Amino acid sequence: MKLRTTATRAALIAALTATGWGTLAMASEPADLVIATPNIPVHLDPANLNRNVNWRFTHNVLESLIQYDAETGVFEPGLATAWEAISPTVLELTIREGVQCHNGEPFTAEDVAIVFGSERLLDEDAPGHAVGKLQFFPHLSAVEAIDDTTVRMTTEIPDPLLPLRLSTSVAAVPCGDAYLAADNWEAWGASIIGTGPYMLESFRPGEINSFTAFDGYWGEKPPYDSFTFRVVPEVGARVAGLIAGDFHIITEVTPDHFASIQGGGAAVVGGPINNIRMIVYDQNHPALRDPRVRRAMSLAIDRELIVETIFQGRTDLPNGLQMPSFGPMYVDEHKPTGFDPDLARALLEEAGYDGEEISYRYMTDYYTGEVLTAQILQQMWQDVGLNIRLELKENWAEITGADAHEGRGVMNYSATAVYPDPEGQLYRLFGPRGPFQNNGIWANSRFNEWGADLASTDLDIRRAAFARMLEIYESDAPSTYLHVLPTFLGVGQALNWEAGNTHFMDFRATAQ
Amino acid sequence: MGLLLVRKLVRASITVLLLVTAVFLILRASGDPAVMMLGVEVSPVALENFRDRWGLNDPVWVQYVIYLKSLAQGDFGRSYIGDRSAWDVVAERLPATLILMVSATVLAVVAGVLAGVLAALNRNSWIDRLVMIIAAAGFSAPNFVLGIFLIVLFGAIWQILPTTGSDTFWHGVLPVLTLASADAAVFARFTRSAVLETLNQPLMRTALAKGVPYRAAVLRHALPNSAIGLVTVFGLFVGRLVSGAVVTENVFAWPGVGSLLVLSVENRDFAVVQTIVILIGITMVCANLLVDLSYLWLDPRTRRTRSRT
Repeated sequence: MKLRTTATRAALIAALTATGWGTLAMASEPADLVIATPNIPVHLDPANLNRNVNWRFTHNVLESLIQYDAETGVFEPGLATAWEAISPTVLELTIREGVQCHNGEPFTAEDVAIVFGSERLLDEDAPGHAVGKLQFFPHLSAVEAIDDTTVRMTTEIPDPLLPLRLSTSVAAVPCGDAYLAADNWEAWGASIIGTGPYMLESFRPGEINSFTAFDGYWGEKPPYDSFTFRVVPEVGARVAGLIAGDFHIITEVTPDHFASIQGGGAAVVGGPINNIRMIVYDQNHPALRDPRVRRAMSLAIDRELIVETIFQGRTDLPNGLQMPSFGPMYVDEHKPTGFDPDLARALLEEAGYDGEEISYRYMTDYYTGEVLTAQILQQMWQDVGLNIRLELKENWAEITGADAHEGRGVMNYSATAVYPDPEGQLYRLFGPRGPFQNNGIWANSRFNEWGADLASTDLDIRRAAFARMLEIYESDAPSTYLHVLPTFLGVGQALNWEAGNTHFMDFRATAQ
Repeated sequence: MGLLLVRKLVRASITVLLLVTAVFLILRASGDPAVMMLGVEVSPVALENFRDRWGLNDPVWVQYVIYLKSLAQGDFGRSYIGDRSAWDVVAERLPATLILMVSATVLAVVAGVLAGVLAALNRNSWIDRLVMIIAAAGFSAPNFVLGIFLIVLFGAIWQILPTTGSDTFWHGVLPVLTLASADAAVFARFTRSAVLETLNQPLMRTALAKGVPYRAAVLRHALPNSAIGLVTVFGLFVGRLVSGAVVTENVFAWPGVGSLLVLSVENRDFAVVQTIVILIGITMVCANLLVDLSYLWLDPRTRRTRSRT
């Protein structure tokens, strides 16, 4: 960047100073996007690293076999041009011909068999098993390449959700040869090869991840030559950089910066996404063993107040741990937990809560407004007689770690609907294969029994089961929801780009 | 002299070893790299597999002995992120940090000493007061506050300098200013005091009585005699510079060792953190060693005292 001190510029400076913030320097649509963000991934495996920061880039680089349009509810071809259930437990997919991997190798059915097969997903020791298999493909038992363009996926039981599961970020397909050729999983994750419109150019954790347009892409050419995620931890520096024109997009914008961004000529985009902010109660904590205490904590929260004060009303309150995008599976008649401090006090008294200290773990704004939310929650809980100690943690290991002296207590978390179905959200997280039951934080056998019915192919059975699971979630309270998670981004004046309702930042031609 | 040097080097090596040991133990007690790498939603089996692969299930003392053995062979270990050599990961970030620190050092010393001398030579005048007010402000403002202030002023409002990054010379201006400001202020205050003290000593009166012009007396006698106190401050300054670099690099997204340290601590990337700590330890020890040696050079009386003992 050159020092911008021409005579004209100097004259402009005085005017800009007089009017407050300057205006954006860029005028034409940029070819090389720079996105400032506080965090970038440390590994790029989509199946194992089910994280917000990983989802941002995935489908620009790695493609799924099937695409799903959440707005229309229609499945569209991806790397598979056709799919058909040839038996109740076998889905046969036809792989698109002429697709090239970023390393020049042809993409075939064998790639699919490798990345969904035993070496990456199915075996218990496989790197993708812990998240990808357990949470996203629980019924998948075998994947077989019949020929270069035909692959068969076999499930243990009929799985009507398999096409939906195959459309998620977690199911994005890296190229199998590069996976096998890598020294190990750690090294592969830093040099991942896919088939998408952009390819990995530079992977420097904590600094930048950059991606360039892939000339050999089979589909429509992408609109940008490259995009780069640059780590800028300070939100003030991100906002200033956006206004100065150093960045085209900034992420993790907090509402207190909206006025500065808009005053500088940039726009604030985004809003509620497919994720619900929640807090999780650890049943192992002595004070939280009694579900009445957990429920009292949920009842003490004035969610509307949080949404109004922290997010200026720019997000929604959920109707239980579910999302309207579930379509026919959305339980409209569900009664969510409301704000009832009197009932909360009564439940605490009934449970014999004696003021024992409960720790509440949170981080510095991993979620938008996380610190403010934690402070507000503590006051709300204090108002009903709960003794909560705020514990600011440095990382996720400290949030979920079980061995800290103060006990695990309450943890900040969020529930993404990775696909629009209860199995993609409530059951994925709180079911027997989810992290909370897996780590002994909560268990409920009735919940699991109803959850088994989600595998049914009968919509009515599934919906009835889900309704009961939502009720158990409210009454046994393994956690409670706060609001639909909003993400706000600042977008430069010259850029014609819109945020979607997920973490994914879509820079493909199809997004235009 | 040689014996003194050997004694100091042995003491320095012990200091670095203690530092590495402390960091080794603290890191392992404060977070699990398996969770940091794999996320919180993985099964206990996957976490165990990761720990097995990286030897994290071994007793800590076994891990420590293995680490020291590797270190003795020049192997700093491997980063969990990308399975790269920890030394390579740190080494590629070193130039950016060195550029920042060397530039900030030069600026802090030159600006601080000049301002201090100017204030001392104009004692109790408006120049003196102005220099001391600026020095007090520079010393009081935390790096991250000053950094954001400069970014907003020069980057967003006036738009004459880039806000963050390290692509060009101009990207370095604001980080260097930020990093140098507090220490320039310290140098200015110390220089002022030291020069004032020297100006009142008999050696200055003698020099002036012999007909040496005032400016020459200041340059030849006052400044060299004031330098000893400044050298002590310089030893402390290196430590402040390292911690300042960590904050400054994060504010300005400067891709140096400081921002790498934050990332590596967050992710409990043990080998990388330990490599950085060793480097910082060696830097501190060398700086203090140089300070000690420079006393001998600057003050002949120290040499005589040493030789008698």
